[in-house]
Amino acid sequence: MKNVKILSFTIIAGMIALLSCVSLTSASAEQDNDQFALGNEAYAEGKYDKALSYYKGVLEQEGYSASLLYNMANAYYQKKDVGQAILHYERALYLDPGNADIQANLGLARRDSGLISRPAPDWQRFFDLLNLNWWGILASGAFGAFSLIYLLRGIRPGILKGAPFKVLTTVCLLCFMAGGTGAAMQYKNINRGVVIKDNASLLVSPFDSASSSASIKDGKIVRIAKTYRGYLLVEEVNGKSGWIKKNSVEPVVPSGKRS
Amino acid sequence: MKNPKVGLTKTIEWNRIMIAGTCFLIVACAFIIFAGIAQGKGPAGDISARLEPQRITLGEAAILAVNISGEQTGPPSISPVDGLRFFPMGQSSQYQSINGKISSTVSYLYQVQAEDSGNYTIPPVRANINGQIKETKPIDLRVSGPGRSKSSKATSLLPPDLKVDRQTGTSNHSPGEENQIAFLRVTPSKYRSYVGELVPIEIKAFFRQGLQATLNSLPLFSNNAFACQGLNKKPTQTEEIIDGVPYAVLTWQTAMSAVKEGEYPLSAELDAILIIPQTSRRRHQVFGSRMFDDNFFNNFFNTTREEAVKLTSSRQKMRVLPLPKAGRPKNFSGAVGRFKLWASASLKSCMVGDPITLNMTVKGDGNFDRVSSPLLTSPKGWKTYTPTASFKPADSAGYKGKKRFEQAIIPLEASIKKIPPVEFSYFNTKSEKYVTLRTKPIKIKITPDSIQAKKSSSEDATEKASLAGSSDSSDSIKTPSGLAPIHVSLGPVVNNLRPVFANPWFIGAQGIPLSFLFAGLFLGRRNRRLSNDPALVKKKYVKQKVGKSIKEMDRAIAGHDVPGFFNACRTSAQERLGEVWCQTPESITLAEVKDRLSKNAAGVRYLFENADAVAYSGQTFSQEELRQCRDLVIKELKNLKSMGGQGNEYS
Repeated sequence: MKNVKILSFTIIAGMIALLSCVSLTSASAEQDNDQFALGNEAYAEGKYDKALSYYKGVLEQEGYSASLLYNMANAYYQKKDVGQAILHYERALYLDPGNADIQANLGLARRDSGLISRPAPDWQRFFDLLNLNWWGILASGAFGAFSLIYLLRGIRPGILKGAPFKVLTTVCLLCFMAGGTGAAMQYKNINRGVVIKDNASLLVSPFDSASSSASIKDGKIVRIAKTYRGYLLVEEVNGKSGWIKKNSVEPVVPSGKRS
Repeated sequence: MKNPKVGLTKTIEWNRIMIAGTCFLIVACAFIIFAGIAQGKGPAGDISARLEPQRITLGEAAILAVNISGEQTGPPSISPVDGLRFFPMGQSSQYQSINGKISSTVSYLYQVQAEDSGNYTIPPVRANINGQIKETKPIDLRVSGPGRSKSSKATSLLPPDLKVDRQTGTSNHSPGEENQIAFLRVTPSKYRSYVGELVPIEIKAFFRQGLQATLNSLPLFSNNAFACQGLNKKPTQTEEIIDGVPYAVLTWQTAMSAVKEGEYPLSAELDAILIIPQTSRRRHQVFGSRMFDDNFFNNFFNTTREEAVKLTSSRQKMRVLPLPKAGRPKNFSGAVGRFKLWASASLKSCMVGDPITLNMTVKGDGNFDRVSSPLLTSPKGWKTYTPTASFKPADSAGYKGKKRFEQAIIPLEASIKKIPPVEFSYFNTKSEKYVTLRTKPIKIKITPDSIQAKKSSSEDATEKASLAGSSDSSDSIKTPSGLAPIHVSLGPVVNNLRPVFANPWFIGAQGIPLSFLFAGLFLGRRNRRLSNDPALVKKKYVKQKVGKSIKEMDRAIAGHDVPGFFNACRTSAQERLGEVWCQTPESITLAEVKDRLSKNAAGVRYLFENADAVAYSGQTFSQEELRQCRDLVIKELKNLKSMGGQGNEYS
């Protein structure tokens, strides 16, 4: 009898704790949603700096979301900060590659600032349907399913045979290949960065005294090849490369603090 | 008391030493006298000359080596040859003592250059040796048409310590340089230039060979009328021989420009510290020969001293002209030199609003720092952006090269058929006139639906937002710039943007399917191995056969096919017995069954007997009897199973 009482008490206490946790989390999410809505309001009123401060608050407290980054990019674009706008569009696209709004606004931002971007070929567009994580999960899931089929066949040889086995394994392999290729296609963009300072100098060596080989517009996409002290070795799409100050380029996929 | 014998022995020993010493001195004196005679009157002396190579191309040099053995009173004399020039490069001495005979050979080296192609004959080279005039044989030299200079061939005869990388044709000292151990030369490519014009210039610092020098500064112009660029680059280091004297030479190939008009002296300065070798031993003529004039002895007894010097080049007058005001184009940005212009577009067809990259290249020689981007002649209907520029120099001075400009341009009207020409103006130093380069217009096809598409996409996006039930009235957020509206819901949030497979848990989780795969492969392999076991295969076959026979029995009962029923019964029993007895099933007969089976297997015997009876006498059974018989068969098969030690059920 005593044990039943203790058990009941424990269950009730646990449920209360769980409920309070859930309510706290939902309260925090609600607060973030409020901030997001406030940001949207400020944006609608044309107060882009204020909107950005709200959005940044959400980003710091909650994390990244494609919509949040997209709205931030819009605000930057309205502020004529093309570099930051393109950076945030790129980050939003990283999370939601197939989003038409993001693609359209990114294209518009690029066009308006005279940045040329060749349209991706159709086969490449297929791999933009999912983001890097989802392609990775697809590949991993397909591999898991394939392994499970083999395990079941090992345990019960007669359980899967003939056409169903062939179809299932083929589907798994196709999904694995598609996931792997998609992940690889998206992963090659992982080292990309966006120039956020206009007419940043591309130096021949990573020193202040080094001579400049070219200038580079803000909003341009570069591949970050190497880091040396306060400089990054970047390569443009046309193959031109050089050293650029770290604060002139922001990676699309930040590795450290949220920004 | 002294022993007289000991004193005598000592005296004898002393005398012997004295006699030996005297003999040694006599022999030594005789050797020296003999050597002196041998040197003075020994070999009569000889002269020989060698020319390498004997075939050169115009612009190259050959080396003439004149070897003289014996005591000569001066350098050899070479008769002048029309079209040939001889430049003394120095001399080296060699002494040999063979079997007591001492011989000396002096080699005189000359660089031979031709003024024109053709066949030449170098006449006999004469020298006064031991009071006699000796001469060499004439040597032929064939000079072919102009070709690339290969100084390595010319220097092949040089002694190892006199290897040069490069030699100048005019190997003469300029006035004031003769007695200098170090001097500076400034050689501009021309002495008349325009303001801003880039003039290639060569600055050379000469240091007599054997000196060590430390540069304290870079060459600087002593006049502020000129600006120089590219001096911070490392100079090239070569060796040159001027009037037979070898020099180590530092060369800066650069370019200078005049900043103001007028006539100015052109001169440069260079601070250096020289480490000068000093001879601590005076040369003497004790032996009346040049034995101690050799470099080996000089280097051996030398010490050094440091001396700070300021090398100053001779002053040369440079006339700087102003750029003419007449005819100066509006878009002239100060480019002076000789240039060419190309332009191309990244697209041949596009929509209104699509950006096109206009690539423009200015190539040539001149002051590229003043070369600004070429301009569209009629930018109407185009939105243009600030071009980006990059310069690729073709020489160390940055005088020759290629400057590329990339400009984004956007067509604003569909009626545009061509990208207008671009223009670039510069002052041509050759024709001394302003020149405006103009490219051809570039054909382009522009379709008008970009704006429409943009509008419709904006409208779609607005519609989408309103459908989403935005309380934020997204359509009011839509801007005239054509931006799609902002999103009203936050959507799924991620903690960071790092890829999922960078997380350790994800990588660890892949171990699960991997272990599944390995387990599945292992089990599959095991199953395959078992399926290839003959006993197992047989068992499986029998199981299938018996199962099939039971099905036939059921079918026969349903169709009241008595012979078929008993036939199936017998087959199943034969198969089972064949498995147990390891025998061919068809060979098992009633007689064998009776003989081998115990009384416990009465059912099997009954089955075989009835099967024979049905087959041979046409005995018939009711369906009920057949069913009972079937049950009996199955029971007996189970019994047989236990006999075989294997368990399988049939029903």
